[in-house]
Amino acid sequence: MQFFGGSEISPSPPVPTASGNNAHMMYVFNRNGVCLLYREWNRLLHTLNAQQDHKLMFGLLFSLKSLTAKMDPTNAEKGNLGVPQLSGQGCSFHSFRTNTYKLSFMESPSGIKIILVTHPRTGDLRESLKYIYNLYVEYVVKNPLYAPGTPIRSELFNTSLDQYVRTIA
Amino acid sequence: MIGVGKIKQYSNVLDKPLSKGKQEVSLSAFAFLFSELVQYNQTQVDNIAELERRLEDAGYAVGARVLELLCHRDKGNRRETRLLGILSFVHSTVWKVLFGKVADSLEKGTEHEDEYMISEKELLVNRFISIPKDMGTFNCGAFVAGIVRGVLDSAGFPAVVTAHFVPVEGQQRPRTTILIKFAEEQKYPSIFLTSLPCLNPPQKLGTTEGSKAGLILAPKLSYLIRLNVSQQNDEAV
Amino acid sequence: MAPVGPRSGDAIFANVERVNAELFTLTYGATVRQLLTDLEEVEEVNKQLDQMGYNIGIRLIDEFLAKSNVTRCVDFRETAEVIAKVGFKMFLGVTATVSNWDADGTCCSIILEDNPLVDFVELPDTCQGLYYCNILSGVIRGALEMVSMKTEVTWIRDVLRGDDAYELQVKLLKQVPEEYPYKDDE
Repeated sequence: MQFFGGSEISPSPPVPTASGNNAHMMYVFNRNGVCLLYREWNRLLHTLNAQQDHKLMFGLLFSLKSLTAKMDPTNAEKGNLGVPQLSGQGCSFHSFRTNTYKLSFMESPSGIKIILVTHPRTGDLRESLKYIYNLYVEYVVKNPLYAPGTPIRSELFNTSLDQYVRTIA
Repeated sequence: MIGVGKIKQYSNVLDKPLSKGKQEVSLSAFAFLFSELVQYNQTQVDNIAELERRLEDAGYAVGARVLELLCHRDKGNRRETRLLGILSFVHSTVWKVLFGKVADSLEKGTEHEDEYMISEKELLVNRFISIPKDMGTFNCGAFVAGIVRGVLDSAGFPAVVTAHFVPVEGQQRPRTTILIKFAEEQKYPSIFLTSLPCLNPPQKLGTTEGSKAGLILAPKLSYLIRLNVSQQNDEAV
Repeated sequence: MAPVGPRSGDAIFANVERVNAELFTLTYGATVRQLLTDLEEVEEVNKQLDQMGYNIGIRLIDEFLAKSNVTRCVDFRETAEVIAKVGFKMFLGVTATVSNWDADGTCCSIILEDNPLVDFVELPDTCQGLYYCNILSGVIRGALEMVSMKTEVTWIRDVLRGDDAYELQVKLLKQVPEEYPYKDDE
């Protein structure tokens, strides 16, 4: 695990790339843990098969959410660690940064989770994630040929997304 | 009669003034309803052609009613009798009411007589669509083609109407062209359509069509449709 | 980034793209006609309309959340109010009211006076028993299920059946927490 590992072990952070190339990859999960979309623009390594990769990512978020809520010093009403939560309940985290990448996360009350992995020096991406959620609504949810819960195959969505992530700084 | 006495404003829908058509719903409400219409129909068919035909049928029902509604409201109950007149009525008036704008273009086909095309850069029903490769040439515009056919047919101009994607140079998204091919006899529309006087509504409503499904009609509209039929009979006598 | 409160239904409706309600009403009418032809039995049509509503609800919830800035739906009371005040307004341009709460706050009525689905409609004798607007109950059920609330939605009053308003009863059955969806051995 190198998420929080020391810099002497980890590879040195990638050189900041020319603008337009900050987004590494993105995942969209629904409330049942189905990976609706995985898209990558700039990923150096693939160590796992796609399915394992998606599952690991989902598990990481699920645990992190549970942990962050458990550690919340402002909220007395919390169950034991691992006790299922209603979505929208408790606090939520929106990003973490390692020396090699930054992971930004948003979850809608309907359980749609959007994860964007970018260059570690990218700024606050909460608005960007909201924008992507809106793209999802426009081009996936409203697509008459999209069946909810199935992988996204919308060219319109992918094109808009590709265009948009180039603007992420 | 249903609901006598209990309805507070109007004892039946006929007494309610026909709306001026200024009410609006959000585009998404329509988009979701339309999506579900498509999804439902997908469960009823085996192939794309059949899916398009069913969407066209649904559109036809809308088109027939739109014509009656507009004739009643905007045209002093006069109906268009000329081919070009009705085409421009579809391209401008109908489009404006349904889609909030005049269609981008109305052209005459170059290859065949009696072929016309209404084109739209971004047809409302294709706005959010992304066609998967396995659905080939499927076009949701079949619904709009149905609306156009419904309007034309009810006005006495039967036609075959189809929807097609046409690539546009320099544009990522194709435009949609509604191709209208009139049947031969359309050059001579029957005379009974020249004018449709607005008479008092008949007493019993909503029974102009035989099938159960046909029974949910706009009563104000259904009497117009009936008048149309009775005038036709007069012609025959 | 300061948290932004939910937007009002009026504000959203004023800002979203809109279409003539007649296109919507007539398209819905065409849908119901198609179902009556396909399924013949009024009961089956009611069921199918509810199912179609449910399918719409599970999609529409995301549009609702994205546009309304509602960030959590945990409290049922609050959620019912939001559906009535923001949801109906934002999609159909009409406002609904919430009333008839039961003592434990798990059951209420959503009342609609204006309903764009039913313009031009009168039920003929052969369609007695049809819940023409049944799609609406499905939408509410589907949307709420996506925010972890299992509900039962039933018609209490229906103008097309002679009542003076449209009234839907929404009963919260249970709130379902999010569970880890994979089994350990997967």
